[in-house]
Amino acid sequence: MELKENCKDNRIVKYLRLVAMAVLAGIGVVQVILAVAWAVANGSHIQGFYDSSVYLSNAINGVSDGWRLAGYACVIKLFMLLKGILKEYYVIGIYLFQVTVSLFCFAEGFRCAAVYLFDKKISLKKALLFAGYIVTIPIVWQMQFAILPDAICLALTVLLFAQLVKLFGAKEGFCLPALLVIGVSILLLGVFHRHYLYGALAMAFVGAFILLIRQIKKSYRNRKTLLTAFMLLVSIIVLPMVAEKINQAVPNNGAYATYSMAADLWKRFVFPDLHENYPHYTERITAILPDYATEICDEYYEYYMNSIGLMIEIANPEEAESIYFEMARIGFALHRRDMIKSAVKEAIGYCFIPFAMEKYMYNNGNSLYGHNYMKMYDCNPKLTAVYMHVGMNGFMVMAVLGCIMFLAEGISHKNLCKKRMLALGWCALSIGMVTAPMMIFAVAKFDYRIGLFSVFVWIVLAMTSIYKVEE
Amino acid sequence: MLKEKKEKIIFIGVAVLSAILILCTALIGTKKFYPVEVEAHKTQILFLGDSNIAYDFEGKDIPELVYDRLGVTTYNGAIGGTSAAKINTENYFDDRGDMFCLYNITKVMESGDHNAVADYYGTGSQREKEAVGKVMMLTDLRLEEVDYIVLSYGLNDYTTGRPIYAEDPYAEYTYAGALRAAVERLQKLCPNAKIILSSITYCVFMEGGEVVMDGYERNWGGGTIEEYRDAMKLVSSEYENVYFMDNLEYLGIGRDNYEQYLRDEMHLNEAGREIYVDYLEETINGIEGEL
Repeated sequence: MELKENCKDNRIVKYLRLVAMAVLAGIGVVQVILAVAWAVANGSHIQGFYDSSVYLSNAINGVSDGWRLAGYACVIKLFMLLKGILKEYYVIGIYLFQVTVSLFCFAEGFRCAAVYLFDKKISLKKALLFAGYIVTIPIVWQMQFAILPDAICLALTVLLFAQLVKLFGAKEGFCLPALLVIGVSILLLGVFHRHYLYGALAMAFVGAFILLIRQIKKSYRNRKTLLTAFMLLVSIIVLPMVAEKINQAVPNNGAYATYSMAADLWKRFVFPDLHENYPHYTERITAILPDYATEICDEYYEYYMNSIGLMIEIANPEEAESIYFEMARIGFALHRRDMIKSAVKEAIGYCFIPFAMEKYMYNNGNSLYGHNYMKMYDCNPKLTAVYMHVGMNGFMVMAVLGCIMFLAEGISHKNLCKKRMLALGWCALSIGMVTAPMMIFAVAKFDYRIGLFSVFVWIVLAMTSIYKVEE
Repeated sequence: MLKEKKEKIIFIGVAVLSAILILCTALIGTKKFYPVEVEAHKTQILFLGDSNIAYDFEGKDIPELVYDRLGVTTYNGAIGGTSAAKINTENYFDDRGDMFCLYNITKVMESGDHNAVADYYGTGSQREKEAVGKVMMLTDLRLEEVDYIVLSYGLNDYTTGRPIYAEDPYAEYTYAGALRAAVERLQKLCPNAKIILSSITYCVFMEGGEVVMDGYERNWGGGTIEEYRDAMKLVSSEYENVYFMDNLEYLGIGRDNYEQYLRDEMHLNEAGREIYVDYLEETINGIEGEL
């Protein structure tokens, strides 16, 4: 549905939009040039993330460790088959694959948001241009050139978000292709990354709930909408089980403790206070875990699951999961105030990521910004510094312009206000649903890798506000 | 038509201005927050290294002694506990000392952006805060004006068993690889500087107050102190404008006289620092004489 005749821009909005589009064009061109330069400088370099080395090893050996799932290792393995021809440059194939998948998913995400949330028609071709800007935002681009599932998982999450939005706007609330894509996304996320899966499930569940509520409010019952909601709920229950069966079918290398949510809580609730908490542990724990083993744990997080976690599991396999949970519970009880304070601070950071990134780029703060940034600038520190600052400052500028345009459009097109507020609400809720699981199961420090979906939503909101439908 | 032309002009003008302004923000990122005051016409010597350079323990540290002796401007960028090589792991939380190893420090210097390390240790220990302060100084120096860079690494590489060599000559987790990478990076950043690679110094290992072994005998996994010294000597021979200080040979510290020059098993005391500065002075005079 295109913008209606009586919703035409007034003069102020028209010029504001023109200026905003021009700023986007100027910033976008610079960003894309720097992104390409950075990619060329990076070449076939593999950024030094710990998980990358594990995924590569898993791909070579055809195994999983239960934590880093087999889906992404399969993608790596497929490209490794080309090693004979491409030698070590096969990683470039992986990077290009990630960029391509992201580009198309972001384009679809942007297009669906524009069409179904903001009633602005846009072709896929134009949406690809906007997607080109989104994918070259430095922290997003960094993940395209990393041997990590983050790029593909973000793309799948965006795709799922897009299809849900399509369902909200679809005629009679039913769209089979969208439902199929949602199903495939959930299944793939289930074999790629658990934390992204949890977010996807939350979004699909809330999406089904929204469709049901809308149906209840209407005077007639639309069977197709009810069918959609039902299929979503079935997908949420059945597909993760299928994914878990696939995960379990992959040989486990036994290098890590068995994955469980309780063990996954350790990153936030046990690290880095394991040694400090030790005197408060029950005998059940201290009988298995000697104090000296906890002494260097605040230095090496990764020491937990492939050493301490395994130690506990080998000593008491039946109760290992409950022991992990007990340790997490004790950790929370002892440091409740600090943990809640930290969690609230991080949550605010992820929700308002354009401004949080400015804080971490220019100010001291206890985060993983430096850690991730140093992985990124391995090949060319100077170029990376320029690209990071230009790109993230540009992102903040676009976010601010987007807010201004959103307000300006809201004021000048009051009849669309309610729908726009609902769209904003859904976007904010989506950020929460996707980010919260990743945050809960991560260390208590702001990590911009967790905020990538928030980056996508912010920039999509900004660009849909700025974008003008052709008259 | 006029309207469209006007809009096009506005669009292009704003787009170009935005592009220029956003590029300028990169300068904020690399802005010199604390521009280092430089005395005109004085030789500038930058020290990078471990605790033997970083700390004064009692008395003055080596850069201060060099300042007194030679009347030059010195910058102490050394950070205690650091090695040349990175740890061979990409742990989610790298060892804190590793963040400031020579390999990483030179990259931070190249980026000019101290926030790569500053925010990582927002609530770190006093030592880490001091290290961040040093990094801020290093990113604020006008590197192209530095005359000498002294790289004094080896003890921590040795005691933590960092490998010396690997198949890849630039492997950052090896002592020789990290030195090569650092030398090349510093030569790009400071094209006019002479780089002095200052070798590992003598050390002993004690049990119950008695020396049981020294660095020539004990191998922590990477090699003996002699092997680390030889590796540094090899690297220095591969580059123009790079010189070598053989502290094992020249300082003359050994099992029979270590107590005179070491305050503990491996750190130089006041007398040790004096002979070190003697040697450095001689090295610099030799270089100046050559030139």
